[in-house]
Amino acid sequence: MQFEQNFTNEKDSINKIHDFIEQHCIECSVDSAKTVKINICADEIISNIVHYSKAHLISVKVSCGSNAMVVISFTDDGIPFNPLLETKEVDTSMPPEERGIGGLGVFLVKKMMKEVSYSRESNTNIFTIAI
Amino acid sequence: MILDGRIDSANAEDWEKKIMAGLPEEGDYELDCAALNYISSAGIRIIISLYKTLRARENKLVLKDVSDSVMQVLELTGVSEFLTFI
Repeated sequence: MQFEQNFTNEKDSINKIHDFIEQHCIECSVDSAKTVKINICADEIISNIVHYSKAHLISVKVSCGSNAMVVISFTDDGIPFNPLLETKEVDTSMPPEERGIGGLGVFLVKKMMKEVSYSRESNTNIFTIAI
Repeated sequence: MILDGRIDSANAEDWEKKIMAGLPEEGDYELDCAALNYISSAGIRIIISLYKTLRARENKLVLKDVSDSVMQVLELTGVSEFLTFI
């Protein structure tokens, strides 16, 4: 099954995208633990797009097949931005007040998903996660 | 203070106001997380900020009944080691 929807790039779309993904995870019979992970990672990706991309549109595609893998791709028409290059490892040797928190979101995405990828095609950023 | 639903980038500002408004003038601060489904990095930022405030006055941030999914995020971000869980 595959579901796709376009959203305008504004803060109000964050909840709408969450609802869209959650609804289709239910239709794909994704278990709740996996859905929670997808929600967390989707939030990191969407908030990056909404706050930094200067995109007009965000297209979200949820695909699920017989192999129990869920693939979600986020396409935006914003400035070229590869979030995977922004990732920072959490330095647990430092006390939390001295740690930078930039890049934390993408770090979480990489840790929680089985696969993550980025590509730039036809003036759009395509960020794909799979679990 | 009871945390419920989700803390994500869409509602983190509202949560931050609510959580800071509930900060006791003295003593430790307990957050009941039993009904909290998930937290993204937007919520982790609030936790770190709150931890710093409490640490400065030698109090603890106490999280009660944390779910597995919330705990996973706290552990991955290295925040769990500075919190008290009950």
